[in-house]
Amino acid sequence: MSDPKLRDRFEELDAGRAMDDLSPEEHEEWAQLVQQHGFTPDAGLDLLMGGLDASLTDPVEAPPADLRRRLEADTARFMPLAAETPKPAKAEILPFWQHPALGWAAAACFALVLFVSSEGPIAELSLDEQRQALLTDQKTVQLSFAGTENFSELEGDVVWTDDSQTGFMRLSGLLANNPAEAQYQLWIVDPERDERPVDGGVFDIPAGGGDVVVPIRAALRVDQPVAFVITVEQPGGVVVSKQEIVAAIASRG
Amino acid sequence: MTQCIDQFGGLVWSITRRYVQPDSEAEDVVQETFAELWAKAERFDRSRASSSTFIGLIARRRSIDWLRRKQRRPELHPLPDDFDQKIGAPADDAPRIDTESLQAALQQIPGEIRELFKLHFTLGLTHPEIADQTGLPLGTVKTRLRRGLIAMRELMRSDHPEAASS
Repeated sequence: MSDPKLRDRFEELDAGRAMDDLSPEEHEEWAQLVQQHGFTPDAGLDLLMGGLDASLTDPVEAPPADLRRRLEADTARFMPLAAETPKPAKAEILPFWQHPALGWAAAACFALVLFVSSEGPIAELSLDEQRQALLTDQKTVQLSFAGTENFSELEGDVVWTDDSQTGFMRLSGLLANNPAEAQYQLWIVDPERDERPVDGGVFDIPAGGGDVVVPIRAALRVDQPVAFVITVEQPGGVVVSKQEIVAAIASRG
Repeated sequence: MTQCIDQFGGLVWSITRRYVQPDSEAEDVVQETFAELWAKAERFDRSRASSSTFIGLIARRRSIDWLRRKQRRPELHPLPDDFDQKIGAPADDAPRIDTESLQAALQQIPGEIRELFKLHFTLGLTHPEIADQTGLPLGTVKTRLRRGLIAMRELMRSDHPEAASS
């Protein structure tokens, strides 16, 4: 059994964590209690905070019409896969909204499905080997990246095949990023599909230079990509890029 | 999904604006919130929370993430890998958190703490702003809010026999 005083102290700090009001010193103390005394953060406190936010928010105002349109447009990103994905196996875990397959469609959007080609899993190969294997497919497209003004040292290419929705970037000369401050994000331009580019995944460039091979994680199916664009975004990436910082572009013709 | 936006778009927008300004930034955060909602839909467990509680949780987290980036606050120690799963885990020892149970618990906590909750959640005051308005020391405001949150949890557990015995 843990010391009751320590437990009380942890509970108070954990409530502060859920409220996001811990000072740096308190957060260190919270972390020590977790790591050295085995206390477990209570996810229920976070849920309680969410419930209080939802219950006590007053007045509730309608979102602007333009935002509403954007939200509706975004749903198209998640709906198309619904018919292709299985229903959840656990009957007791109900989906969030009315569409029975929505959760799985959404999960599929973010799932790592890169390592399955038409021949089967190739996850045991290194990323560079997978890239090389992809290049043996005659249907694979290979485009060279050109860095923009502040990224002129960048060299590399992108390889992509529509059939397996698999692709890789090989990059060198791209500045290393601090993931806590900013991350790179790939966008795939497929005008036949949508006027807005498809999220190709967030990635980091480690310090140390050299070639880096990055797998492409397309959130949606793309069939005729005409360009691949690397932008710099906030940690975790964004749903829609303002393209304020474009690092590189690879395009057909 | 459109029906969900109809029903909860205003709630997400209103919660987000309390934390995020200007409105142009709040719009981006709302968009990210709904994207996360669709992505995490499968984790939602109706036996643990109402839809609005689940949505409030995601909206709040997204807003706080934005605040942390904006204020360049230091990275926190990461939560355990399965932390999110616990939120969506089937209810074996936890009360269902919905508007009814929350309001019932709110009525049972001391009035002074209930007022602090309203200042924070309804009026959107930060803890220093609450200290200014009430004349309470900042440390007291934080302590009362934290203890109020713990008291709410205990009250809801006591109304939930399985939890009380665990």
